[in-house]
Amino acid sequence: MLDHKRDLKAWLYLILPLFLLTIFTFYPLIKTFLISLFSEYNALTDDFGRYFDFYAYTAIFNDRFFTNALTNTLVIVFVSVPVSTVLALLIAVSLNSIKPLQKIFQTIFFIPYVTNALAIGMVFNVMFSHPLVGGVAAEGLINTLFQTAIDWVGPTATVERWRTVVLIYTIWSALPFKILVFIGGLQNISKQYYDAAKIDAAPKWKVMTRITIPLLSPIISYILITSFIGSFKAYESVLSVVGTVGRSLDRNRWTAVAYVYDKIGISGLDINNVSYYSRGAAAAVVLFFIIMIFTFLNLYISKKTVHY
Amino acid sequence: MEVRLENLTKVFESKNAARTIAVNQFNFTIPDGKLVGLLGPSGCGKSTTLYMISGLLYPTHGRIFFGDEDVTELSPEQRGIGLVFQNYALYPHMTVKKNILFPLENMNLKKKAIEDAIKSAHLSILPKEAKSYYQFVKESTSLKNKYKRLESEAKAVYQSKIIDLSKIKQNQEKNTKSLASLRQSFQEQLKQFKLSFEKELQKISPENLQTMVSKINHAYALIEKPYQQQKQKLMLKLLLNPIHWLNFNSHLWNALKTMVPETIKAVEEARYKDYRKLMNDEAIAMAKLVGIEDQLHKKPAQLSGGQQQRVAIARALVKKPKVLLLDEPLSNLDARLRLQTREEIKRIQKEIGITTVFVTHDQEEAMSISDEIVLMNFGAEQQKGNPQDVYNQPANLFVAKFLGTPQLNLYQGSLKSGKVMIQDQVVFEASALKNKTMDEVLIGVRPEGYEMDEKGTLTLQPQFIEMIGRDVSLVASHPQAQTPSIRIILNSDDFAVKPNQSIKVKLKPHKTFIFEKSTGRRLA
Repeated sequence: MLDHKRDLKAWLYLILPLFLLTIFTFYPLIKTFLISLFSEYNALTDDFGRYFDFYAYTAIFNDRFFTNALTNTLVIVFVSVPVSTVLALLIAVSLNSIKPLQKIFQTIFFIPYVTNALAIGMVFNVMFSHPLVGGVAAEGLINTLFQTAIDWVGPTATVERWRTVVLIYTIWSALPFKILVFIGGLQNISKQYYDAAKIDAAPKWKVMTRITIPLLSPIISYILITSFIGSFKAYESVLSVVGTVGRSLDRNRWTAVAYVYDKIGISGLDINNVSYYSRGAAAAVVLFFIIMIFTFLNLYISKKTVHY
Repeated sequence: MEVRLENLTKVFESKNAARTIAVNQFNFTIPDGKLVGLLGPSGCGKSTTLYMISGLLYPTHGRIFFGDEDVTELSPEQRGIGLVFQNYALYPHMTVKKNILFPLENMNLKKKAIEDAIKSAHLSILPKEAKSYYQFVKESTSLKNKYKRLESEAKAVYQSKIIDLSKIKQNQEKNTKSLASLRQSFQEQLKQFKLSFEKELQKISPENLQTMVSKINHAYALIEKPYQQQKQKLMLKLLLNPIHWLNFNSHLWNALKTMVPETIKAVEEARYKDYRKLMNDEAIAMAKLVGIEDQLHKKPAQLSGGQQQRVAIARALVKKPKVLLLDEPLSNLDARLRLQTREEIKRIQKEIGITTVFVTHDQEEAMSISDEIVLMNFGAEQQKGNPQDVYNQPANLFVAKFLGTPQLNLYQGSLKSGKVMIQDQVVFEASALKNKTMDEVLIGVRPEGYEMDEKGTLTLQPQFIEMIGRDVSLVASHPQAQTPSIRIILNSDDFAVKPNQSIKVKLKPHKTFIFEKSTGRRLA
């Protein structure tokens, strides 16, 4: 009896969040899914149209710009996440082992986190800039420093170059949060394990690989999962770093989210009678499933490797 | 291995210049193969002492010797000690077996075995030269250690001088000047050390050191060279046959066994031995010794407290340390397990005969398993010796109060020309107190130190009888007692006690101690 009463109270508490979740999460999710399957969906009249099929999906996979956007996204995910995690771990360990100035360094490393992402992206854009017509404007900081005249982020930049800049930016901006979380995790590891390791004569690298990393593995796995999800959704980093102010992003530089964003801005049908809006929805659903599969994979691996 | 502590002092300095002297001028020798208990209330400096022996803390002053070797400047891993932490500090992500293996993996057994084998090979090839060479190596290392020690001592003195200087308030200019002169004299001192080190090294190095070394190496190479060539040929032959790819080293060694020259056989054997198996065997043997061989594949969290304790002991012992240190080894166990584990510790210690120091605040624990106990308070030794002797003859009030349950009963009394009196009744006399008169003394009586006697001089007011298992004790009160109630352990024939009816008792002389009230010094 008592248990039932408690249940009732719990449901009561849950009603408001469930209500909000239904409106803002479940309804849009299901509707997006449906829109992606009704290939003649009309966004202006909210009319689903006559056809229930997979044409929107075939259309996006035949779209060169979509596959290219997926590649761009995957490059960002698989380079920036591992690199920034390893870097953050190394920085956190070294920050944790110095006593004087630790707080100051912690603050310095944390500054990017409290700064607006778009603003920093535009600063990167300016730093890597290159005037298209010589002599009109000065070279950016990077070109000046290295005495080069390379177009890193402008319209004539090669794929490798603008991707490099985007990756530098993503890694750099991903560091602070990770460092903060890692430092918190490191400070939670009991000093006794390190004393025990000292007694056991473990060399430094072994303390790192056999004690610190395994004991930190729950946090490492948390960081990996969240940042994989986060970087699958990358868009504003690319937009602000390698976009041109006042113009929409070059189609070759789209990420998956950029593709969606572009498609839902166009009303009407394409030449194959597939609504652009449905194509955007299909792209969003594809991204959703990629992230989901990947997260399950991540969870599965961490269950196997995360100790205790 | 005997452990000797000389004038050991540890001062903790905090930022706001508050100093805590955790251990003060502590002198003690732990005899070889004995189990010694460091006993004292919390904050008395016993754990600090233990950590200084382990090398996790460095003493502010004083020296630590393992046998004849001064280990004060050595790091924990160089000292060769095993330490069992209070919470065991087992690595939670490793299985029991991996926990025990971990110290072994760090020992680099192979390198050490090869070096030892080469040394004995050298000694057998060129006994005279090798002997004097290795003698020199040994002497030069100890010389190096000596100067390292001198340097660090000088540095400590220099740093404490700087701290003292910063505390004296004087004008800026003068301060900088004296600081500069301090630094200069310190650097001068270091230079002096370096010079005399080189001089002494010169003295002990044999004249023909260079030629000696090359002679030894040459003689060794002469034997090794033809063998090495044969070995290379054999390796190539073996490599061509895929059958040998798995376990290549053991195949190779089997083939090499017959052709290796006798003088360097030990070296080659050390090179091809299966160290993984060796370490495994040792870990399993250690697990057997402590009785956890069936738990090897569990994680520490799956074990009970007692089992974790055993794993921690196995991990500490597996590298064959010279000294075993236990920090409050039983405090995390429940009462029954505590009794069992303490016998276990005693058994293990006896079985391998290792010098053991253990720290505890529980007097019963210390008394039950120690060969010798040291009582500490305020960072200083209060008394040391055989547990029963310390119990029977406490040196001062602190020791008498700390040892024994139920606690010693204390009465306020006075001393008049050798006679100790409580409320004008003479309760105790001793020849040591002859001609002494004191207005205030404390009379301490062990709970078992009472005898029912109609003619007894001490009158007590019984409150109730307390029975805990086989122990029957009488709780009573006395106006001059330091505590509201006193406890007396009764014999079974003393049961005829009724509440609210005062009883008369006599004090047993050997269970009664007289202390000076102001200092706690024992008078008799």
